[in-house]
Amino acid sequence: MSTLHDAKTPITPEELAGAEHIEDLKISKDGANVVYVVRPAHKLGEHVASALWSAETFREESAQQVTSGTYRDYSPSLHPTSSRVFFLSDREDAGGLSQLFSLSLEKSESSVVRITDLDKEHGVVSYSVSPNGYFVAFIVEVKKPKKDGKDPIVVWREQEQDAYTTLQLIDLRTPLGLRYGAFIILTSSDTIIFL
Amino acid sequence: MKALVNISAHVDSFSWNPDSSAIVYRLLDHRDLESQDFPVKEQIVSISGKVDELGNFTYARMPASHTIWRKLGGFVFLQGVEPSAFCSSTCLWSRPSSAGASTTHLAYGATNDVSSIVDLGLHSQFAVQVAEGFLTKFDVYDEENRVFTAFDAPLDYSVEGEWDMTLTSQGTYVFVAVRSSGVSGQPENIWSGVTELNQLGKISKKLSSHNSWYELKTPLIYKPFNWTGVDGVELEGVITYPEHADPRSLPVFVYPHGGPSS
Repeated sequence: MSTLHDAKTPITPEELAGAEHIEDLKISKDGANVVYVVRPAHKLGEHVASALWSAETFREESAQQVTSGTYRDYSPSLHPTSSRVFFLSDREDAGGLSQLFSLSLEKSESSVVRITDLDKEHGVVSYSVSPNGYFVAFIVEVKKPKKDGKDPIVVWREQEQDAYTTLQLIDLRTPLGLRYGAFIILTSSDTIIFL
Repeated sequence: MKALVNISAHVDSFSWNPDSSAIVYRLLDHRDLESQDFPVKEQIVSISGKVDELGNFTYARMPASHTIWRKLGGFVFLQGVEPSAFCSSTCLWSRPSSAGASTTHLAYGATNDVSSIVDLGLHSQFAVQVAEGFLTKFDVYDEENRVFTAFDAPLDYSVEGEWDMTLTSQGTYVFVAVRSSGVSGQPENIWSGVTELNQLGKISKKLSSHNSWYELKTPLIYKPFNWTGVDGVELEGVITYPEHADPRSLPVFVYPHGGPSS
């Protein structure tokens, strides 16, 4: 007797390693949307890679991929007063330190804007947009540059004086567009609009 | 870009106050795992960069969550029932915003523990994910710490781990979670649910179809079971084995985990 189960095959180690793992769920302030991260359960390539996804919370099967998954895009959040998604990514230095970016859910990859302007020795560890949407605060880490392709030797708990993590702030109402190619304006109703 | 905190210590984590005028942040002397088990300082800085000396506080060890700064004042966070112990059930604590005030154990930790906490963004409300045996629930606290259960996962699927919730301006609680089921062979996907004050909600909408390849695979059998330990403690477990196999003839790997605090 041929059954549906007979046609099924055992799960392979490769399938388990490549299984989609979901993390970093963040719901929008109005509850209408959720953004999240999908990555292979285990590292498959030279660098860790993950993609941003989004879904409408009131519409079944509405999930769609937002970024390609070529780089490590992670820690997404929805801006409290716009449809802009903020996220961390190593897209400008695969496997390196992360920078803070934002994008429009409607335009996905084509609308990616870099928010932080740090050099390759500084990266963003974590961030949070203020409840009113005016500011983004973030923690910056320092990483010593590689020498001859190798990480520098570091003695445990020494040489930290010039490598403390710091708390930084960007006022999103300033004309970021002049610096990063994004245009952000503050309307008379105190709403930030990203163009 | 403006440096708010740039001193001879590592900023480890931070949270905004509800009116976006200040940030509460934690400091570590060293940025390593060992530092998590030593006292952790927490301070407050305004967005103008002025440190509020009255906001200084020291935790016995790194709390198990970030700090939520409530609109009506005070903070809530997760830490062990015994805050100075190396291993202790994670539960819900609060502390006033006034200097020198002591912390208060609000709930949980005896037969359950709290996995995570989220700020609902309105009216000083927050929600916690509580694990007790097989079961997981989302409890919501209002500004006076009155609590109701917004969601209680049934035994036939799991919502452990990733989730989020918001309180909308219309007064509805919208939540999302990663739901999976070994019992019914469902891989993890995003689901959503809605509820209202003092109402038990359901996860009703399946938003994604990740890992659809799993449907073409021979499923694994998952069965929950209970037993009584030699010390009389009631324990719960899940046994997993390939379909059509007799588990009594297979080698056994034991993976101890679960709550409280492990």
